Amino acid sequence: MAQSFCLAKFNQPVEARAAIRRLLQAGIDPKSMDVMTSQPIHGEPFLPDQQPTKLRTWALGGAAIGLAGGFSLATFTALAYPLVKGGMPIVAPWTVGLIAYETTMLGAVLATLAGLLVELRLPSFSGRPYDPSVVDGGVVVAVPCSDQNRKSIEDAVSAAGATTVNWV
Amino acid sequence: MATPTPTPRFTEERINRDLLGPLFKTSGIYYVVTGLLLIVAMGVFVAWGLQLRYGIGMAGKNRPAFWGLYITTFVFWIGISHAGTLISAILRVVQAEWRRPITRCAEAITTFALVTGSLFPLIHLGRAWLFFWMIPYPNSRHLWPNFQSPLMWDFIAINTYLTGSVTYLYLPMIPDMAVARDKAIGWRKSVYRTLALGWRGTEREWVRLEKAISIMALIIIPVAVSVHTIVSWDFAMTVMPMWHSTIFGPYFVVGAIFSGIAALLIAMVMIRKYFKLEHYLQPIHFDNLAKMLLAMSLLWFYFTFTEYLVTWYGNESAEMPVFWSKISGRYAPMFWLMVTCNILIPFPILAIKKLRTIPLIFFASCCILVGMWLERFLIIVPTLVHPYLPYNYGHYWPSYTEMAIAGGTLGFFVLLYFLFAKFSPMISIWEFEEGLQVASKHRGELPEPTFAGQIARGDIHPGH
Repeated sequence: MAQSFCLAKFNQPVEARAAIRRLLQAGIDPKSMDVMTSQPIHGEPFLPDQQPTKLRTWALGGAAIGLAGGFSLATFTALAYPLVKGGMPIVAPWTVGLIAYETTMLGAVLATLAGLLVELRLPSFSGRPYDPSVVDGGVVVAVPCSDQNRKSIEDAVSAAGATTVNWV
Repeated sequence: MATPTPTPRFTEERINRDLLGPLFKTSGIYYVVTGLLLIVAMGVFVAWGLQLRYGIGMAGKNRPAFWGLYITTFVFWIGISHAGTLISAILRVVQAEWRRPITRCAEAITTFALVTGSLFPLIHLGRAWLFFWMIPYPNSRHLWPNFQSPLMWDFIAINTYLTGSVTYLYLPMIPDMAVARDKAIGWRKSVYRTLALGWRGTEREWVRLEKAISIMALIIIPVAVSVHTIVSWDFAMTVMPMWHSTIFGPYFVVGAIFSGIAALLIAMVMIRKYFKLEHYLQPIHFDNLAKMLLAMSLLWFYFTFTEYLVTWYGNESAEMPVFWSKISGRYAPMFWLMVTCNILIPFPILAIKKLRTIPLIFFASCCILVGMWLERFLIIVPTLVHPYLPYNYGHYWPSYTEMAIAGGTLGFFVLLYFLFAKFSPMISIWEFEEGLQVASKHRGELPEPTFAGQIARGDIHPGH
């Protein structure tokens, strides 16, 4: 049987937090839940983040690759076609540094973008649980459910003040 | 300063309706204006096509002035491109809350100004179809680009900046594309669905998106500074009178930010009026940017004064003809118009609080754009027509082809901006909503009890 989800919508974050508390107490794995909002909600997270982001590492890795690439490109290009230009050495440190600087930045930009997409598994057009009404405000809590726990989930989110409960 | 527009009660629904409205409703005026801009933009490509057909001679280039309107306008557009990404990134890094409604307008300016500016090296190449010779890849010609040439630095830097700017524009757009996806119907829904990449607004997504944007902001600031520094080195690395200057890098960067803020203010005035966004783009945003513009105006004047004072004091025989051609010679009217547009008109408007109204800020910004274009022209052309050897002195007057292309790019840029405004909300929806949330916290509302922290502390045990 395909996995189904309960999408409970709350007007206020405080209600969503209350529902999450009830769901956790009912034995729902926090890693299986999702909380959707139309904007980032500041303060402590709704759910403990399962995996801390490694975007900074991605950016640094991309920068390192860009640095090596730019340095190699400018150096080996000059060595492959060794003409003295403007009295400069064949491999001129200033110009190699300049190209390496730009490619370092380029590497960091591209790696940050790539890291974001990889960490979020985007693009994803498959049927992940989603309630389009979240863009008009409120908080949607998505909880995976089965026939056995459907009732307890519905009770938990309703008791916390869910305005709508959908099953997908 | 103008009286603040009374703020209505913002709800997510209202914000979505206001900011997505221009995407789904198109007035007749929009079609007329876009049509006119299209004609102007077509003029650029027709003129360029003629130049390609009949040769670079159409541009009227001749000894000693091989650079003219094309490079002037190239430097001008690259300068304008500093409006967005740099200003937006700085404001993000310092967490200036008032930035929220202006970042998208600014970032879009950067992207489209870069696209427009990037046309000019291609146009100036003459044989534009050979541009790929600048791309470093193994080839049968056994030729590699000369990385010791500042023009190659330009190529690499501008491409880096363009890639970074497009990424920096796109990342905050993803959640807004998702909103548009959920509100659109028909073919638009498919387009926004693709661009939203499957965004759902989960907590995990927000954390990572904000992290990515903050990393990008830190990366893009040094890139933006490097780009205009490198553009200045196109000149400063040559041994030409009044070009071989150590302050050219910061001088160009200051000029770029100066013209960039002016362009941003003009765009904001137009967007505010045309899309009826008075509640979102408030006088405080114009006031704050106008103060930044004033600071840049003074900084620009300081750099200009230093540059010219040192030249005059040095009294070098090769530099003085260039200097006097600007101060009292053939280029004096343009020089003094530049000074008028860049400092004499903007200074009182921006410095005196009562004059700092939106219409006058708009006027001052327009003057600054004219002044900054003249500044680029006056850096390039007088030096070229007064090289070291006096028997090489010459004249420069742009050809009609040059004028059509250089002038037409204004229409091309505005056209791109107009089309973008029909495609994406010009104010970041989620950032604006987040700003309201931050403001409500600043008003003293206590943070809500949270449970993630309680789980971490062991106060709540999942499953019990």
